[in-house]
Amino acid sequence: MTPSNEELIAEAKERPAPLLPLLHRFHERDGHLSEEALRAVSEGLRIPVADLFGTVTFYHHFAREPGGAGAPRVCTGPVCRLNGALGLLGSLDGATEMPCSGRCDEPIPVLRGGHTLVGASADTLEFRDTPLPPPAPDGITECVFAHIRDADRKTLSGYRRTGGYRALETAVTSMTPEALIAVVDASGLAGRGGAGFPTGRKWRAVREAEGGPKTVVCNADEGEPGCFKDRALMDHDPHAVLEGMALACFATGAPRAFLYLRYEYPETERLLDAAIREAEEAGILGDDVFGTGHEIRIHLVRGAGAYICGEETSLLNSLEGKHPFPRNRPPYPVTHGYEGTPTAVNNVETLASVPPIVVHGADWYRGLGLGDHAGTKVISLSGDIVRPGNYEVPIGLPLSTLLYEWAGGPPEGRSIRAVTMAGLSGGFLAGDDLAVTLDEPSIRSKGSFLGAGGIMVFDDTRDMIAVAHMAMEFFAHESCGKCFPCRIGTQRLTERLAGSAGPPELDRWLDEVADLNRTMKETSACGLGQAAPLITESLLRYFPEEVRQHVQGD
Amino acid sequence: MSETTGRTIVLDGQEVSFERGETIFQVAERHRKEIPTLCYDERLDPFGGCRLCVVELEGARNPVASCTTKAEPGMRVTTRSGKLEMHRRVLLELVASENREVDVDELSGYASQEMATLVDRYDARTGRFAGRKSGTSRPDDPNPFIKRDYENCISCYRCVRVCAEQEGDYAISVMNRGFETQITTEFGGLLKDSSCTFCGQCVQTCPTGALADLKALRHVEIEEPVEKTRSVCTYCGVGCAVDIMTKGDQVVGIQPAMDGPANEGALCVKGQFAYDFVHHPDRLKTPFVRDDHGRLVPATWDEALDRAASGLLAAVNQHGRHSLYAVASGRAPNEAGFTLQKLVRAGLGTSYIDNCSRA
Repeated sequence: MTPSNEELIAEAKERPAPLLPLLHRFHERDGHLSEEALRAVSEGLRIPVADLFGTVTFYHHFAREPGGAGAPRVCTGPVCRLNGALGLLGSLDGATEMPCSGRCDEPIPVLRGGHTLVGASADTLEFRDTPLPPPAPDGITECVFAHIRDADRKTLSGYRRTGGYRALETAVTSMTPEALIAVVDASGLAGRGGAGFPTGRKWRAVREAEGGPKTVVCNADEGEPGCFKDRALMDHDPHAVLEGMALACFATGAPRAFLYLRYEYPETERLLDAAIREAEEAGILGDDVFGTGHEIRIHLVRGAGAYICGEETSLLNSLEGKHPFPRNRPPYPVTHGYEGTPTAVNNVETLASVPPIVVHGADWYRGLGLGDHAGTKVISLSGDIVRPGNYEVPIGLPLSTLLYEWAGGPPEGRSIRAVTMAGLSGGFLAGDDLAVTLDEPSIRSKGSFLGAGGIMVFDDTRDMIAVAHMAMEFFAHESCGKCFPCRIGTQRLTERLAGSAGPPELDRWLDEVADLNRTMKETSACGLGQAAPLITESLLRYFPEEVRQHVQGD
Repeated sequence: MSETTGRTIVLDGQEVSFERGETIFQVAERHRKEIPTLCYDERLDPFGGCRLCVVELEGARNPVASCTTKAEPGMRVTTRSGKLEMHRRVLLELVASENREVDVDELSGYASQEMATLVDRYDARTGRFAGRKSGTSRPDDPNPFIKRDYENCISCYRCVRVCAEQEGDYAISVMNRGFETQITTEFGGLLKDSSCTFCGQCVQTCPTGALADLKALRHVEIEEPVEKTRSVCTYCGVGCAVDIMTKGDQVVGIQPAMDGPANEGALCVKGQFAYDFVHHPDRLKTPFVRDDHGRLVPATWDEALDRAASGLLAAVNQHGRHSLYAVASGRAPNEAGFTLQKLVRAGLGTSYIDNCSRA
C-alpha cells in the first residue's frame, strides 16, 4: 500500500538526519517532489517552506515535474563524451544530462529511476556489475584491493572467510582506542579523498575534542569527474568500508556514523543497506559490537546530486538538512561537525584501508609505498587508454609506469596528449611533466595535485580547448553560488573557453583569464573555486598555440 | 616578544588589542581600515561570500576573509597591499559584469549605494569580464512596496539572511546554485503569497538596489536633493528611530536608523511604508463637529473639545460611570497616555482604560 504523507514523516522522524531520506521517499512515491509534498515536509520537519524549496532546487536530481524522477539521465562527463554520450542522450526519450556519474571505465552509464544501465547506444543498454579492478601486476602488494576479487567477498560470510571483521574484533576486544589511533598514525595513512590530512591525527582530534556525541561520517559522495574508485570498493567490498567506519567509531568514541552516498549509485545504496543489516544481525554492528557493549550505528544517507556535497562542510550541512553551502572554517569539523558535534569525516578509501592496517601493522602499510612514501593510492584511470579501471598503486609509482605498463598505453597508433589530475580539479599535465611520480610532492611541483586520484587520458586526436571547456562547464554547473570569485569566475571562464564572450584580442583575453585564475585561486571560499582555474592555468601552460588559435579564430 | 601580554594582533604593522570573539574585520573597523565589503551587515552573522574583505595573514597560504576569521593572539595581518587591492578590483569588476547597471537612485534603499561607491573607489568601471548577466527580475510582482529587480542582484544573500536572522520571517531563500542562483519565495511565487510582512528590511540591506523601495522611487523625478531628518516613528510605543527623507517640502521616503537604540535598523511595514497620510488630501487639518443636520463642519479646538466633554458627561449622567471605556492610542506619547488615564479615572470615575499597544 502506498504510504501516506503522515506515515513517511513519522518514519523519517525516527532517525537522525531525516530530511534527505524523507525527500527521497516522497520522490520515489510520487515520481517527483510536488508542492504539496514539500509543504507536508516543511510542516512535518519544521523547516520554513521557502528554505526547503530553495534547498531542494540546489540538488539537480530532485525532479519537480511529474514523472521526472524516473526519466533517464545520461552521463555526459568528460570520458562519456569521448564515447558518444551526446548521441546517446539524443536517442533516449525524455533524457537529460547528468555530470560524471562515476563509471568512466565503460561506456556509458544511464540512470533510470533506481537503476544504472550501461551501454554505448540506446539498444545495447543493459545492467552490468561495476567492473572489478584489473589484477595487480606481479610483485605488487595491494591494501584495499587485496581481497576485492575474492569470491563472495561482498557477502558477510565471504568477507569473514577472507579475514574480514578480524581487525574490528581485535580492536574492540583487546585494544584501547588510543592504541588503535597510534597504529593508524604510525601507518602514515592520510585522507584518500584528496585532502591528504593524516587520518590518525584527525581521529585523535575528534577523540580529544570536548562535547558529544562524537560522529563519524564516511564521505561516499564521489562526485569528482573521472573518479570511480569508491564505487568499486563499496560494490565489491562493502563490509570493508563498514569495518573501517566501525573502527573509526571505536577510535573516536562515536556511537554513530553516517555514510553519505552520492545519488548516482542506487545499486550501491541497496547493497550497503543490506550489508549494514546483515552486520547488525550478526552482532558486529549495533548496540553490542562483538558482545563488548560498544554501540556503533551506521546510517545510510543518499545525496541528491550536488558535487559540492563532497566538500566536507557542505556535506555536513546537507546531512543536517540545511542549504549545502560550505561552512566558514575554522571551526573545523573535528570540533564542530555534524550538528556541532566533534566529527571525523573520512573518505571511503581511507576507511577501507584501516582494517588491513590493523591486521598487518603500521610498518607493513608504510612499506607499501615507494621510497619515502607511505602506503598506496587507488587511481581511477579512464579515457584514451587501453585498459581503463581502478589501480591501487604504491605511492610514488611513476605515472608512465601506470599508463604504459599497467594500463597498456593509449590506443594503437595514438599518443598521449595530456592527462587530468585529481579528476578535473588538478587540471592537466602534459609534455615533460608526464614524468611525475604518483605522490603529492611530485605532482604539486608541477602546479597540480593528485587529489582523489582520478586520471583521465586524452590522446593526440583530442581538442584540448573543448576538453577544457567541458571541464569548466562542469565547475560552473557545480559552483554552489556562495562566493563571488567561484560563482562568477567559473561562468566567465566557461564563456571564454566556449568563445561566447571575452575580448577578441589575445593579450586582453589572456589578461582577463590570468586575473580570473589568480583571484579565484587565492580568494575562493572552498576547494572548488580554488581548483577550477588549474584547468585554464595548465591549458595556457601546455597549449598556448591552441589558445591563440581559439581566441584569434585562425 | 608579546607572548604573555594578552590579546593583541599586529594590524598593518601596529600592535592592537582585541576582545575575545572579535573578528579581524571588527578589529580593523575600530582602527578605521575601511576594508571593503558587499555581503557584510554588522547585524548579521558573518557570511564570507563576497571575499572583498580578504586580508593577508602571515603563515596562511591564501588571503583570508576578515569577516569570518576570528582574531587570535599574535596574528600578523595586512589589510591593504598591491595583491589585495588587485583581488578586490577584479572581484568588483566581476560583480559589475553580471549586473544590468551599477548606478541606482539613492532612494532605492539605505545601503543601495554600496556597490557603486566601491566600484568607483577601485576604479572598476572597466567593462572587463563581459558575459551573460545573472538574475531574473520579477516585474510581475504587483506589491506596492518592494521592487524585485534581480538583474541587479549580486547574490550576497543579505536579504535572505536579514529576513531569517533579524525578522524570523523566512519569506525568501536561495534557489538553484552557482551563476543560476536566484532569490525566491516559496515555489517562486509573489511576496504577498509568502510569509513576507513587507517590513522592508531586505530593501534596506541590499547593496545594489536590486531590492528597492518602490514608494520612494515614485519621487525620483523631483530635482531637489534628498535631506534626511532624524525622528521617531509615530505608530507604536517601541520608538523606532527613523530618518525621514524629504525633497523640499515633500516627504519621499523613510529609512530605518541603523543606530536607533530601540530598533537598530529594524522597522515594520507601517513605519517603513505607511507615510502617505502626511501629504494626503483627505488628511484632517482642523477639528470637525456635526451640525444640526448631522453634517461634519470645521470647528475650532475649543468648540470641538466642549462638544466632546458635554457628550461624555451626558453619557455618564444617563448610563452611569462604567458606560465609558477609553483606549489610549499607541501613537500618543507617555505624557498623553498618563493624562488620559487621569481624565478617565479621576475625572469620569471609571477604571475602564487601556492602551492599544497592549492588545
